[in-house]
Amino acid sequence: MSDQDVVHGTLSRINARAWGIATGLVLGGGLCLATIILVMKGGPDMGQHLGRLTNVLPGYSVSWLGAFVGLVYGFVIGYGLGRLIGPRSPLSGKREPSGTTHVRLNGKAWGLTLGAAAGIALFAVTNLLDVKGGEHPGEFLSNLHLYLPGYRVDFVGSLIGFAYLLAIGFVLGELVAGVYNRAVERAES
Amino acid sequence: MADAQHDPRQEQALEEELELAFTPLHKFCLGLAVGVAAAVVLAALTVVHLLRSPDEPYPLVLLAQYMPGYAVSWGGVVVGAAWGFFSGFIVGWFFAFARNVVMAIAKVVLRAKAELAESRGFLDHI
Repeated sequence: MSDQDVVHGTLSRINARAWGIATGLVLGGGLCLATIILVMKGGPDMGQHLGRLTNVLPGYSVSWLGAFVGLVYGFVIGYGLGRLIGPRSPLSGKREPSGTTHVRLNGKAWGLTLGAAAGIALFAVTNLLDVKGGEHPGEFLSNLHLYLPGYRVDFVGSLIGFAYLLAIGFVLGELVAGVYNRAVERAES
Repeated sequence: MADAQHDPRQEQALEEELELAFTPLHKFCLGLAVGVAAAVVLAALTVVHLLRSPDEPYPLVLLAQYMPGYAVSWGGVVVGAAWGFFSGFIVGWFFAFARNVVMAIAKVVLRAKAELAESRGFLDHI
C-alpha cells in the first residue's frame, strides 16, 4: 500500500465520520424536536401517530424521555446513513484545486446513494411491520399508497416502495447537488 | 511518508488531496439546495394528495401540527412549500455546519498527532 493509499484511506474515514455525525445530529435532533413539540402541545391524543414509531424503535414514546430515546435512535440511524451517503471523494463532482474553496457534490453518486438509502429504509420498515403482523400491520404506513401507487405493507409492496424511493431519492439528490453546485459557483465567483 | 518526501510529484498530489479533503461545505448554499428540495417535495405531496384524495386530508394534514397555517388545499401548496423551504434551509445549513466542525476538529487532531510523531525522536538526540 502506497503512502497515497494510506492518506486517501484516512481521509475517506474522516470524511465518512463527519457526514455520519452531521446526519446523525440532523436526524436525532429532528426526531427529538418533533417529539418535544408534541409533548409541549399536549392534548388527549398526544402523539398517537408519531408514537407508532415504537413499532420500529423499541422504547420510543411521545414523552420527555421518549424525546431523548428518539435523539439516540435518530443519531445512530443517521450516523449509519450519513456514512453511506457521504461522498467517497470530498470533491467528487469536479476537481478544481486552484481557486476552489468549497466542496462540490456529485449529483449522480449522491442521488443514487440517497435513493438507495431511502429505499432500503422503506423496504426494511415495511418487512419488519409485515413480519410483526397483528390485526392491521402497518396501518399508518400503508397510507403511502396515495403517493406511491401499488405500495402496500407486504413483501411485494416493499419492493415497489424500494423502487419508488430509489427513483425519487435519485431525482432529489440530483436536485440538491445541482442547486448546491450552482449556488456555490455563484458565491465563489 | 518518506517516499512522498523524495518524490515531488507524489508529494504535491498528497498535499492537493489533503487540501481538498478539508474543504468545507458552503452552509448557505446547502441550506438553499435542501430548502428548494424540501419545498418541491412538500408542494408535490400536497398536489398529489389533492388530486388523488381531495375529500380526505388525512394523513398529510398531520403536518399542520408542526407547520401552522398548512392545510391540504391549493393554498396549502404554497404554505407547505414555504415551510418546506424554511425547515429545509435550517436542516441544510445545520448539516453543513456540523460536517465542517467535525472536519475542522479532525484536522486539528491529525495535525497534533503528526507534530507529536515528528518530535518523538527528539529525546533520542539528547
